[in-house]
Amino acid sequence: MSRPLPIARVRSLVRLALTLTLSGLVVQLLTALYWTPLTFVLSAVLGVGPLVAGSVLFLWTVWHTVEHHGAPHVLAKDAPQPRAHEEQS
Amino acid sequence: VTVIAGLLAAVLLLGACLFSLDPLLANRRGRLLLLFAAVVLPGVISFESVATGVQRSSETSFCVSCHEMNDYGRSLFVDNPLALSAVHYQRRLIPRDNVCFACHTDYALFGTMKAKLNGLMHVFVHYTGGPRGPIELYAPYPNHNCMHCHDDARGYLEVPVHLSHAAELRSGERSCLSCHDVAHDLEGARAAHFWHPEAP
Repeated sequence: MSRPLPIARVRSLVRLALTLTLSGLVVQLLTALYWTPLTFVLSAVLGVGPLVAGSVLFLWTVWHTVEHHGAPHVLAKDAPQPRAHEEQS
Repeated sequence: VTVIAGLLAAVLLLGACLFSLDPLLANRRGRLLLLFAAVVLPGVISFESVATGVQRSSETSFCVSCHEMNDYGRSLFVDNPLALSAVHYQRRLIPRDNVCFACHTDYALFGTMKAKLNGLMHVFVHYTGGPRGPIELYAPYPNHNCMHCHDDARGYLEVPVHLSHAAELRSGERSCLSCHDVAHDLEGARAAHFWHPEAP
């Protein structure tokens, strides 16, 4: 079982996951605008790769949050985080 | 166009989510929207994008877009009734949009996958200096690729020599190309000896 991550770290992981997914989508969008054999290969490698990595990281982060911190609403900036406090005490 | 529009929508939605992450995380609807924008929509759009790309990579225009294939593409228009590629193309025996793929893929469980992997290698070779030496098939052309269409075709069955050699042709012991030995008339293509209604 993995160690619980601090909420701030989880939030930054969510941000990283969204950035990875977004960069994959942008690569796919740019390569789709000028379609050649090379851009298709680039799209499949540099577009789909980060996108899958981002999606997997996002899902893992959500799963981790639910398992260690309860409902994912604890990720909100001002949300009370009882279980995290309990772990610290 | 659909794929581009979908990708654009996904980029905009995910970009907006990234910039307003904290408010989204604070409520249930926001988190569901985040799940949709970060996983569901990108997954569906990417799958569609790759599927469209794979489909387009089977098109004739894709194959002849590399200069190495110029003469092979032009050989489809050669005025030579013995050249297999020209006859198949001009008589519309195979779909014109997929002429290369129709003949140069194995009709088996992994035939398409094998053809795509070979195509990936061809793209790599094209962008790394081109082929060293003449372009050749990886293996002798298999009879079952011809038989896939011709096996029970009337035009095939009505030729006596096909019936007398049926067993050898089925087993692959005798190649179809041993008689039909002009696959691509490259000389005719270089000499621009074209069938005029369809000349490039």
